[in-house]
Order: sequence, then structure tokens, then C-alpha cells
Amino acid sequence: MAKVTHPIGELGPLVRCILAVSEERERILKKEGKKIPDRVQNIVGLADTGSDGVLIDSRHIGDLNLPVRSMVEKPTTIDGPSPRFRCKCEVGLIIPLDDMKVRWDGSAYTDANLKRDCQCDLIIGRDVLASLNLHYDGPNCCFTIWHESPANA
Amino acid sequence: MKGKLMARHVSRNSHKTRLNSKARQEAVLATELETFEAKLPSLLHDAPGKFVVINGRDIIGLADDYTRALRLGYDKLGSEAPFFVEQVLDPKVSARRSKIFLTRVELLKNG
Repeated sequence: MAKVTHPIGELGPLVRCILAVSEERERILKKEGKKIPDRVQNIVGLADTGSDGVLIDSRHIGDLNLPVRSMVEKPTTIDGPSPRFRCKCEVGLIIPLDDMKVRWDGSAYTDANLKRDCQCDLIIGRDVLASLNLHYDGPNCCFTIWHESPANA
Repeated sequence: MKGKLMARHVSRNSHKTRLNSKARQEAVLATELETFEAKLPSLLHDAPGKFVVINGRDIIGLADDYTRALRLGYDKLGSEAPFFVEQVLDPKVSARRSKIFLTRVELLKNG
């Protein structure tokens, strides 16, 4: 079991992670002899159990050439239903946990309402957090995140 | 002053590029989205909760999870062809869940 302790940001637990193309896309690009886009290191993600999915700043679609896989029409925001589309992109998220890395392939909603003064580029929602363990240590203002591999469970 | 104008010009251009790329993405999957909406009633009956892979007007296949759905799409279509992946869920049920969540938030605020 690997554990790593992170500081708490103003908004909540912040995790430095890596954005990549999904494992399946990497596999097919290798098979076809095509270039795999460079991973984006040091992305600051906010662990948010209130979010049901991953939200990503739309700047990173171009960086990684993330393919759009679906769309959500009129997503509901705090201001009510929005008349816009929100893209759902295929993305790979790698969270380093000391000596091991947890990789998650899934879809992320882009063009999240992440303001420029926000501390993060990414919101890590319940679809990722469900496979990890989180422990909040209030007095020391930090939290620990770890992953139990199936062999250890 | 010149610097300010230049900055404004650059920012407008980058906004336009973002809109163009977004409009292009919407156009790329517009047919697939239409197909999904048209086939949703039968998919909800036959394969609720599964992940459907659609290319154009064709359903490529169904998978148990997102990663398997991607594998299916890539194996059949390669890395270049656009394909749509979505979980087969009843939109009415999803909307109802959001409403329940919002009601709870309201109650907490009032409490």
C-alpha cells in the first residue's frame, strides 16, 4: 500500500497529477506507429467528492489532442441550465502515490468553470476517488491519499 | 496604449479559435449524437447501464465499462475515425437525481 500526504489548499485537498491520453489510445497509436502526445506534468487537481465526474480546463484538450467522445447538452450549473454544449473528452489521469502511480482512463467534461484565479486545472470527482482512499487530518492541515491494489485488498 | 490594444486583439483571436474548434467538435459528433438520441429508447430496453459506441449512424457495439468501449472503438475504427461513447442511462432518472441533490442542498442552506 502506497500512501502520500498532501497539503490542503484554500479550496480543499490538492493533488499534483499527470494528464495523458488514455491507455487505449496510447496502445492504438503505438500499434499504428504514430506519435504519442507528451504527457502534461504537474497538473494541480482538486479532490472533490461533491463532483460526480472529472472536470478539466479546456486548455488541455489542445495540448494533448484529446478526442471528444460525447457531449452534454444544456449542462446544469449553479446559474441553472446552460444553453451551451459541454464536451466529454477521453482522458488518462495519472496520480503519483509515492512509489506507485494510479492510472485512470475515463471521460472528463471540459471547459469547466475553473476561473483563472482558481488554484487548480482539474477537479477530481467521485468516479476517480471511488477507487482511492482519502484521509483528512484536520489538526495538521493535510490529507493522505492511497490506493490498495487488488493483491493487497 | 498600443500594448493594451495588441493584448486585446490577441485575446479576441484566441477566443475565436476556441469557439471555432468547439463548433468543429460539435459538428464532428452531431450525427452520432442524433443516432444516440434516436436509439436511446431501444437501448434503454435492451442494454441499460452499458456503454454504447457509435460511428455515424451505426452502432459499433456495447461494452460493460468505458475502457472496454474505447478498446472496441479503436479496434474496429483505428485512431483517426471519430466515435461516440456514452453510457445508456435514462435522462429522466439522472435529472431526478440532480433535483434530489439540489433539494438537499437547499435544506442544508435553510437549516
